[in-house]
Amino acid sequence: MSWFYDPCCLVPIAIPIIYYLIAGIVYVKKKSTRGFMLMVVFPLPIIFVSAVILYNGFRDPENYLDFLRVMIFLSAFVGIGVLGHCIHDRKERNWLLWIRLIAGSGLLLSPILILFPDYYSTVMLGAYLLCGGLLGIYGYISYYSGKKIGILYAYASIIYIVFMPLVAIAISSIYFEVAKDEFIYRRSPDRWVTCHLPALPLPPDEELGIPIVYTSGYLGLMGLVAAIRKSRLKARMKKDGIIPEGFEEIEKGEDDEE
Amino acid sequence: MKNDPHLIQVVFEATYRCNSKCIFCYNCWKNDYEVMKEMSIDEIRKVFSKLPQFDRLAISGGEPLLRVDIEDVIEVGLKYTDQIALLTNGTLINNEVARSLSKYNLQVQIPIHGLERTHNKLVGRKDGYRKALHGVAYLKKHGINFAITSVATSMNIHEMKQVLELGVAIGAKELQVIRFMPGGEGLSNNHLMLSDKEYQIMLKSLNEVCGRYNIFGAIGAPNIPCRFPEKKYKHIQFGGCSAGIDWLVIDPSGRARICNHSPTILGDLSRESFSKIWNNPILRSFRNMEMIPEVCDDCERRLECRGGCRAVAETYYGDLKAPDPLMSKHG
Repeated sequence: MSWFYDPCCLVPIAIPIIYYLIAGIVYVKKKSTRGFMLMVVFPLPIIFVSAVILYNGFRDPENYLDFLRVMIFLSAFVGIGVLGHCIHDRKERNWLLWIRLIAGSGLLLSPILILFPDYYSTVMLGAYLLCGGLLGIYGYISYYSGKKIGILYAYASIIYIVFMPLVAIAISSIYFEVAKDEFIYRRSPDRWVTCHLPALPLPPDEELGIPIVYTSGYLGLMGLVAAIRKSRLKARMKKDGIIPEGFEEIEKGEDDEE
Repeated sequence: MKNDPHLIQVVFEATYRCNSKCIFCYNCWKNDYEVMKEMSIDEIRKVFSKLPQFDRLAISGGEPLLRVDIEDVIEVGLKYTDQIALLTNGTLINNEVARSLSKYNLQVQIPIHGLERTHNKLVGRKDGYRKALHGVAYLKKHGINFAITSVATSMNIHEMKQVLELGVAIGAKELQVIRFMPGGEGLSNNHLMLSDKEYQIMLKSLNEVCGRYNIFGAIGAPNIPCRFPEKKYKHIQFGGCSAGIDWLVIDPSGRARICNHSPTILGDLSRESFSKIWNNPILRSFRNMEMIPEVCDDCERRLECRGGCRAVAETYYGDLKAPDPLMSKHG
């Protein structure tokens, strides 16, 4: 586990942990699920990618190979966030809650796969994509069922499942001078390093991941378009005075009546 | 009991009282409610215990939140089903009420019939629109699912699309539109009935909004597919009439009716057994499709659409076998 003590890995892990602690305190104080999700799930990949680029990629391209492993490690925190949201919504006992529970538990447990270096590249990636895909599907369905928070799941899913591997491919193409569509697969047992990026073309054992990645991306994108439309509609209705004064204050709990 | 039907939905009109004066109100007892006695919570328990298994319960009124024991009513319902819809005008929902309702996994249906001026005119109160929307805001604050329902009339059809968009903007889970069907108070306001063109505007508005924002939308009264083909409106769910088959209405006194739009009393559940009521000749004739108007005799889809709404035929023409007014040229 020497890699764990490597500052190049520790820093990108430490930043989100500190971030989570702050977000957790804010959540406990404000009791706002949306705020919690917004703070915890949404910005995490950006912070993480920045951290990896700053502390790993630029310093030593070889360390970039830890990218996926650290990403998986961090997904456990997302799993905690998702499970926390399940507990918050536990009254709503329906199949959507189960989807979230499965996705959250999967993400939470996914770092265990790091302990199995011979298998984790395929199994881990599959599990990771499945959990992320479930999050995207949940986000999409729940958003259209009237839950605004669903869109945050959809965002998170797109970022984790689609954009992060793309960033990884971009970095790899810079540092390893490989074509962007080339599949990179390196294994060095002494450091437990596997770089396994879902760039096309993939070997046959990765075929399952592709529809999950793109379905989740598509659903997330659809949710995003609808979210933009709805948000514009609400702004217009508010501007035209169709949504009466006081509505938003009450909705947000900022009214005087308590 | 062994031969009892499995009901899809029971509508319980919890109270005769209402704090709105909707000019389209269909309630057949609207004008004589002061002399009618509402059931106590114990009587409600007794009536519900006579019902066969049912999937959903809709608690309506009058205005159900005028009952001080409305939570007890909900709890009675929860013994039989976990799918409960509360149909309220939203004007009595404040922070405290919303907090109390959030204990139950309800879907609340709030009617918004027009933009502010039109809505207030239709519901007969100056603060109806603002109060209903503030009620919605409290529901949202407490995480309660809600749907927006609108009665489409000749008075509000010009702004129907905006009303539906408002529903989307405020976060409704579903949109439901019901054409105005004369009955009760509404009988003296027949001018509110939709013409064919207006009915098509209603369908088009709902279809467009549901498609654009990917939200569930339904038509809350039977359509006439031979006149208004449903395939043109792929984003809308059309519901047929299931009166007499898997649907029953109980009024605040415990009397059973075929449908909330129908004034015909089938029997009194507080005194009679469910099977006696369910085997009432009128209900049987509904089940046996004997109420379908003659004009539909040659139609292939007669068993599917059942000649439109039989209750509105009854209230409008005084005959359960008359054609649905939407079928005949009235507009």
